[in-house]
Amino acid sequence: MIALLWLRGLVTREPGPLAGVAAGTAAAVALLGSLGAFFTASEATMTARSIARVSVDWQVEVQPGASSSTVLDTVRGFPQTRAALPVAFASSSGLSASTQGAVQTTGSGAVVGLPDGYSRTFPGQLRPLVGAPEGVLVAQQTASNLHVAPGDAINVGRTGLPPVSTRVDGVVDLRQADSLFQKVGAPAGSQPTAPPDNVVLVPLSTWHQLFDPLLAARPDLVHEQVHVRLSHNLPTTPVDAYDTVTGEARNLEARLAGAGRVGDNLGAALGAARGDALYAQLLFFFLGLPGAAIAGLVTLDVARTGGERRRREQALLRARGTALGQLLRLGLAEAAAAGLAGVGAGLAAAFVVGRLAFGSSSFGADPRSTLLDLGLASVVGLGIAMLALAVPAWRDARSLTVATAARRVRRGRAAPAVVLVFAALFLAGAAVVYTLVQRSGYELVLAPEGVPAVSITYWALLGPLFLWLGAALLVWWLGRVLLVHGRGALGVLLAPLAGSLAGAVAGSLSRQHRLLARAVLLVALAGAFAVATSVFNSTYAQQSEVDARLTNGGDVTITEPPGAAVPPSFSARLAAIPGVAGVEPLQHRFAYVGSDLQDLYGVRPSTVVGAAKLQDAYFSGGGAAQVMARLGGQPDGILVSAETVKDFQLQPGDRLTLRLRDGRTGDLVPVSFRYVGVVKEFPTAPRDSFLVANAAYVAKATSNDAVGSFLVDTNGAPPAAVAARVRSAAGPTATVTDIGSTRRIVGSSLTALDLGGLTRLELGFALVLAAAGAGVVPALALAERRHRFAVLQALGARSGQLAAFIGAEAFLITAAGILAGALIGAALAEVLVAVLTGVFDPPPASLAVPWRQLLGITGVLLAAALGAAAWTLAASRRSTIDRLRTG
Amino acid sequence: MTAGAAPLVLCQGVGRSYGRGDRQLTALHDVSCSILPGDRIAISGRSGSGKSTLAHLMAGLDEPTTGVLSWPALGRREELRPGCIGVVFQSPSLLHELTVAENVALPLEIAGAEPSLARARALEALAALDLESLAEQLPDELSGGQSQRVAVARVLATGPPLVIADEPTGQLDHATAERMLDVLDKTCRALGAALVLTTHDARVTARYDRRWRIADGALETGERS
Repeated sequence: MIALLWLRGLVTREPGPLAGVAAGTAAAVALLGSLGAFFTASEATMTARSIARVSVDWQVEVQPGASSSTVLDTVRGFPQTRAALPVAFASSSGLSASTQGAVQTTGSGAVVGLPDGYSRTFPGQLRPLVGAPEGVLVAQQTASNLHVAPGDAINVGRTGLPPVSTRVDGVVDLRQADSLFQKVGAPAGSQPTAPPDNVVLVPLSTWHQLFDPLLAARPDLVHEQVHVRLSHNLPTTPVDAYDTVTGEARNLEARLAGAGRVGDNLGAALGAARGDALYAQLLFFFLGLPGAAIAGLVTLDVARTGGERRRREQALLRARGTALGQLLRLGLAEAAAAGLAGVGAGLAAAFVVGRLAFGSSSFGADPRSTLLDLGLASVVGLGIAMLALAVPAWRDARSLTVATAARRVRRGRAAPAVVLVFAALFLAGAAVVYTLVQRSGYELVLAPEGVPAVSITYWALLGPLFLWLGAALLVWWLGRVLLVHGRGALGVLLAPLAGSLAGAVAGSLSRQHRLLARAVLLVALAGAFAVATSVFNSTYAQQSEVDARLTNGGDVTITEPPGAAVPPSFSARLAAIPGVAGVEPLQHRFAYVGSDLQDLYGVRPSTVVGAAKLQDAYFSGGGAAQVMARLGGQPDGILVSAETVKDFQLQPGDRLTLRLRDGRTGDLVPVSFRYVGVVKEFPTAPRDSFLVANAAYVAKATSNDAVGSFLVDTNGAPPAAVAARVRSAAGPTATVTDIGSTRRIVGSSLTALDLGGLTRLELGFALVLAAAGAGVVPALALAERRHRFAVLQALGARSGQLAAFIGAEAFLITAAGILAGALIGAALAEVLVAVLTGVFDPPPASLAVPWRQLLGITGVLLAAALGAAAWTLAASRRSTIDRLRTG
Repeated sequence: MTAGAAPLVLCQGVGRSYGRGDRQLTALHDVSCSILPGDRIAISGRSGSGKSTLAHLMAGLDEPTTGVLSWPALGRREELRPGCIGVVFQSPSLLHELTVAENVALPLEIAGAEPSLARARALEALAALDLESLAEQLPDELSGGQSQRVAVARVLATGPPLVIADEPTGQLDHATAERMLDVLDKTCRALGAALVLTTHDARVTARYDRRWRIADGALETGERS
C-alpha cells in the first residue's frame, strides 16, 4: 500500500527520472528484441535459401553388387522422401560429330540416363537452351566442342564396344554439374572432383540399351544412383536443419545396410550455411550487446538525475523512523514499475520494428528459442531498471542521514592512476588481437565440411571487448584529469562565450569533473556505437555490391551461349534500347595453359575500367587503370592469376603460349602472349585461375571476334526493367541477368540478406542513444541543478551570462564526446571489420566511410545538446522564485 | 529614513495573483508603500500571508499583476541587480560547485568586474564579517549559519543601497539567527543601505524600529499608506 502511494507520488510529482528509466530499459529491450528478430529472420532465410539452391537433395549411389531396384524401393519407402528417381551414369571413351564437312572429336565424357519426368521432379538441374527439353540432350560446352545443334548426329564411344550414333534433340545448361558428378562417399574435406567437359544426357531406357552390355564387361565404368527430393519441413536454423538432414541421411544408410551411400547435397548446403548462421550470432554479439550496454549506461545516468530527490526523501523517511527494509521495498517497487513498463514497451517496439524492418514478428525460431529470446531481453531490461533504481536506493538507505543527503559537490581529486594502467592494458590487448587477426590463416568461424561441430576463435572476440573497455576507461580518466588540472585553459577557452564569468564557469565545470566526465563518456560511447555500426554496415554494403558486380559484370549482363557468334557490333543494337547508357563487349574463350584449361577474357583496356567499374583491389602491381593501360600498351599482353605466375615461374615480359580454338577451323591453335601483370578478380570470371587479354589481339589470332557477354551500364535506370527490354532483343539463347537479382543470389547466404533493414535499425538506435546521451541526460541533469541558475538570475545574471553557464557545460560534453566518439568509433570499426573479416566477400581493401550518415549523427548530437541547453535555459527562467524558496 | 529623498521602492496599488479563472489565487492585493534610503523595516506575517511575494516584487525578481511598482532612486527593473539591490534568501542560495570566495565574487563578475578585482573585493567582504578562513571552503562544507553569513558577505561585496532579506533566519536556531541578524545589521549600517526583512518571528521583528504586518495579502504599515 505504501509502495503504491509512493509510486503514485513519483508519477505525479517527479515523472522525469522514472519515465527516463522506463524509456532506457525499453530502448535496451527493443534493441535486443529487434536484433533478435532480425537474426531469427536471417537464419530462417539462410535455411530457406540453402534449400532452394539444391535441386537434388540426396544422390543415393547404388554400391557394387547391390540391386538398384531394392535401393530404389528402400529410398521410396523412407518417411522423408517426397520423390525418388533412378539415374544411371556411364563413362564414354569419347564423342564425335561430323558437321559442315569437318569431324569434331572430344576426349572422354559422361553419358547420363535420366527417367521420364526428371526435369519436372528436379527443376533446377537442367536448363534447356535450344531444342527439345527431353530426349537426347548435350551439355552446352559439349555442343560447342562438337559444333552440334539439335537435329545433328553424334557418335558415343563405348570402351571395348563399337560406338553408337544418336541424334541430338536439345542443348542444355547443367546448372548443378558439380553435385551431379560428385564422387559419393569421398572423405569429408577432400578436393571436389571436376565435372566432365563432355556430357550427353539420354532417356534412361536408351541408356540401358547402350550401356547394359558395358555393365557386364566393365562395371567400373558405369554406376547407378537414386536421386531424391525430401520433405523440406525442417527446423528454421541452419544448424538444426543440418543436424536433422544429416541424421536422416545416416538413418537411410543404416536402412540400406550397405546397399547404398548417400550423397547429401542438402546437408552440404546447410552445413555451409552453419558458418554464416554463427557469423549472424556473432554480429548480434558485436552490434547488439554494446548497444544494450550503452542503453543501460544512459538509463543509469537518467536515474542518477533523480538521485538527489531520492536521497532527501529517504533521509526524511529514515528520520521519521522508516525501517531499512521498508525503504528497500520502496526502491524495489520503483525499479519494478519502471522495469516492467520498459520491458513491455521495449518488446512492443521490437515487435513493430521486426515487422516493419524485416517482416519478422517472432523473436525466436521456435517456441523454445522464442521464450529464451524474450526471457533474455526481459531479464536484461529488468536488470537495468534494478541497477538504475533499486541498487542506489539500497546503497543510500544504508548510509544516509539528512545532512549527507544535502551534499552535492565533494572536493574531488583526479581519477586514480590505476584507471590509466587498466586502460592501457585493455588497449594493448585490443592491439595484440588486431595484429593477430591480420595474419593469414585466421578464421573466426570454422565449419568444416562433413564435421558436425563448428568452432569459433574465441580469443578474437576479446579485440572489440578490450577496445570498448580500454577506450571507455581512457576517456573517463582523461576527462577527469583534464577538468581538474586544465581549469585555467578551460577558462581561456570559454572566455569568448562567458566573458568576465569565464573563470567562474571554468571553476564550476572543473569541480563537477565526476559528473561531466561521465556525461562525456556517455556521449562518446553512444557516438562510437553509431560511428562503428555505420562504418561497419557501409563497408558490408560496399563489399556486397562489389561481390554482386564481380558476379554479374554490369548492371545488366547478356551472356551468350558457347558457340554463339555474336559480333561486337551487336553492342550498337543494345545501346539503342531505352535505359541502356553504355555497352561493353567482353570476349570469353577457353584456353589451354599447358594441360590446364582456363577462362580467357578479351577486353578493350581503354574502356573496360569504367564500364565494368574495375576496382584497384582486383589487380596486383598497380591500380585498375594503371594495369589496364599496361595491357593496352602491349597488344599481345596478358594478365594472369598469381597462381599461374607461380605454377609457370613467370617473369614480367615472359612469353606465354596458349592453345585457343580457331574460329574458322575449330582446331586448337597456339597463340603467343606476353605476360604483363597479375589479375586477382574480374567481373564474371571464376574465383580460381583465369586470364585477361586484349580483345582485338584474341580476335585476330583466332579469326573470331565473337563476344561472350555484354556488360550494360544503366546509369541509374532500374536494372530489372532494362534487363526485361534487353531480354527480348538478345534472343532466347542468351542469358540476361541484372545486378539486383544477382545481389540477392550471390555470395554467402548472409551477404545475400537485405542489410538495409539492419542498418536502419542500428543507426536508429544509435541515434536515439546518442541523442539521449547528448540531450536527455544533460537536460535532466541540468534540470536537477536549476537551483543554480535561479541563484544566478537572483544575483542579476543576464540571459547571455546564464546561457554561458548552461552552454559551456553542453558545449564541453558534446564537443569532447563527439571527438572521443569519432576516434573510438573509427578504431572499433577497423577492429570489427578485421575480426569479422569472414563476413565480407570479398574482404574489403579499405573501410567505407558513410560521410553523410556521420554528418547526420553529428548533427543529431549537436541538435540534442542545443535543445537540452535551450530547454534548460527556458525552464530556468520560469521557475526562479520557486527554486529559491525551496532552496 | 531620509526625508525628501526619492524612494528606493514605490508600490502603488500593487497586486500579485497566480493561476487563472476559478483556480486564481491572489497572494497580494492593493499594496501601496514606499522604501526610503536608510529605512530599516521588518515585514511580519504568518506563512503564506504574502510577505515573500512582496519581498520578491520589491527586489525585482517578480512582476506585479496589478498596480505600479517602481524604483525611482535606483532605475529600471533590469538594472537593479546586482548593483542596486542585494537579496538574502531563506536558504543560503550559494552555488555548490564554487568556493565561498568565488560565490562572494560572483555578483561582481556578473556586473563585469575584472576577476582579480572581484576576488579582492570578495576577500575584503569576507574579512569584514570574520569569514576569511572559509574563503576556500565549498558551500557543502559549511554550517547553515555560516552559509547565511556568506550570503550576507555576497551582498556586502556589491555594496547596494537596498538590501532585501526574505526570512534569512527561517532555517536557523535562535542563537545562530541572532548572530546572523547582527551581521546583517552591521553590514547595512556599514553600507548605509536600507534594509527590508521579512519574518514570522516576533523576536526578530522586535529588533527593528519600523514594523509592517501583512495578512491575507494585505499590507498594514500602521504609519502611512
